[in-house]
Amino acid sequence: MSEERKERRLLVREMELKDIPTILTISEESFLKPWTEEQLRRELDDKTSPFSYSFVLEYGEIIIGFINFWLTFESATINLIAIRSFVKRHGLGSLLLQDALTRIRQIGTIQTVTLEVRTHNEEAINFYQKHGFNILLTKRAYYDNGDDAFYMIKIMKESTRTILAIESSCDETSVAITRNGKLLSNVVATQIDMHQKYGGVMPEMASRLHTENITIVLKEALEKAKITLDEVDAFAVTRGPGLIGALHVGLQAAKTLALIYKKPLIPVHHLAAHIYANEFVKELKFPLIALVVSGGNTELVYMRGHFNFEIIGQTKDDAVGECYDKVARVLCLGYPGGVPIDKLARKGKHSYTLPTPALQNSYDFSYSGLKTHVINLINNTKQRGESIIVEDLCTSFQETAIDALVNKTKKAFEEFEIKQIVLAGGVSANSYLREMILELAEEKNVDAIVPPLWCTTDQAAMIAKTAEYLYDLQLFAPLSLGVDPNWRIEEFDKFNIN
Amino acid sequence: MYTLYLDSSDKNMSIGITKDNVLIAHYHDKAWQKQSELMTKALDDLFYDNKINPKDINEIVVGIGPGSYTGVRIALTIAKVFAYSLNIPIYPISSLRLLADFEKTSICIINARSERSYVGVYNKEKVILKDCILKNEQLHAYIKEHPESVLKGDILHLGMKQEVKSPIETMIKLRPFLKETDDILTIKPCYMKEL
Repeated sequence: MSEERKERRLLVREMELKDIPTILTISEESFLKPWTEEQLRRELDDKTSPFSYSFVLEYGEIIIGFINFWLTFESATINLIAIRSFVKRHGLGSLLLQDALTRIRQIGTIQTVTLEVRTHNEEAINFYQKHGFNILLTKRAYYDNGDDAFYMIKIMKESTRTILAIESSCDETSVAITRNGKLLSNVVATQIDMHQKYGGVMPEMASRLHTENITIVLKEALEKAKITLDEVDAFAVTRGPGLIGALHVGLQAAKTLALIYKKPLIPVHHLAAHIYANEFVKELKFPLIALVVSGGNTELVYMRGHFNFEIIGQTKDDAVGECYDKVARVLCLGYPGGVPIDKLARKGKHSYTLPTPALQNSYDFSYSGLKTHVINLINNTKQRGESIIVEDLCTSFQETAIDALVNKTKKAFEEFEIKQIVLAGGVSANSYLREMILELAEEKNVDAIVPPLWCTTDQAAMIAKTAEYLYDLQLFAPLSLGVDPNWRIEEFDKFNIN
Repeated sequence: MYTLYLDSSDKNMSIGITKDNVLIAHYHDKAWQKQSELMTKALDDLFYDNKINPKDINEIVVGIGPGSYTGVRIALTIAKVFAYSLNIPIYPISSLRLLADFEKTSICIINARSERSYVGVYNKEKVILKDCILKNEQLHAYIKEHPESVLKGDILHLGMKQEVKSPIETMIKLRPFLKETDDILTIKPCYMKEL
């Protein structure tokens, strides 16, 4: 199972001694004067070079690039950065450099980042200029072979970053504005009441309501934040997953703003955003396991680092939230079903035996069977002229539905290293789930983030929070961006353009 | 004064920019179910190619339906966000009306599915038959009774093939007769079909 699971993805991690042979090969390929093994060992030794930092970029388990920089009190120097020739020109150098710059920025005390580059190396000079480095002066005969060097410098001042985010993937129209991570406003127009008579979100109605609400919500968000559209540095929008018609509305709004104000457009993955919503509470700690549970999704996501997603388990059919809604409907408890079932479940006991939605030999689920079983149980009982003990059925259903999620999360500890458990999505508002996850975290002696209730529902604040990171990663889309109602979290940085 | 014209209510995507009522930029092409991806990009290209700053637009004329549910929403959402951002007026126009041949009495038609059609009949600035939904057999009967009228719009569903010309020219001619919308924040498409 582990072998199949190790799908290829990019990861930046600290360089280790075992990497030396590969690093030497890449070094030879990339530099006129590559490091020797002895030099490399010295760099990696904390005792001889405590100020030296080295990171590798891995694709799956293959090292495809590395970077080395030194830190002194107020400045950082990039010594070497190399990407294997067969993967050049894929933005990987940028990824590696941005990662290093983010780490350097986080230290807080570093004011400048410097480097030397051969004056005839146009490709490298353009690359650094793209990342905010400017040529300060020329160092004559700097290199051993007599080549001149440009001394380039980047000033690390606190750059103000204002993001306006739009969310319209389901039945809430929302606009939020953040500035350097701080939430300035978060306006949500919910359509829940309108969909109640359908017992679920009626897609065409949702799309119509989004169109009605979008500019009103936009106006309110700007007024609450007391900023103008000219001040926005980038416009972020939920590209998917969600209801296609609903997504279209938010997309048009974001694209129009990006066009008028000539600012970048950032496409955000809705479920990644649910995970990152937790950063309004606490920092994500890696590696972590996230339980992403809502009306439309049920996924177990493993993250080794920022934006490093691996779906290790998911539902094969209904989402757990959807299951709650359908059961609540049959019990005439209204829509949405989460809150009423949760409340009643507190009062009853687990007296009905229901089939578990957990699938064998995997981290997957199937909630459709549980839903059908409950519906049949209710109908058959009615037919016999008997009555259902509603509270007991709620308890039985809730415990069956939620225990499966918690148990699969617990099972993941056997296979994966986990430092934090994160709850995400609408169903993370469920009190029983929150309780069980906190218990699990204590049992495993790991950290847990259980998001505040305002964070569990769909809102643009989480889109903005995620976009702040994506802005640093320069994940920008052209104006021909389209929506993807089935966008997978592992492909958060891929968006097909026509 | 720059006016922006937009429509995406059926199978096409039409954009026009006039300066003092003279057409200086124009785009019209098939874009069935692709308006969401293509429209903003086409707009951007048009602005760029003609060296116009989007912030210079003074007013917007937009087709508000009836037509394809998604289609009518695309152009109108773009128009609303434009109008709100720049604080400029919107002049809505029926998507049937903009199909008309300004000079001749036009029976404007858009497929409304389930053997029905959205229909409106216009002559110059006059409304002969207000926008409505007719069963296709009723429409065929109407067409028979009015042989001097021309048929405009995509009428493939009626068994007739016809190229749909760009509506921009008609929209420009109708501009003097259009009324500004009361509230750019709340204006919604005309779907003509309840849910």
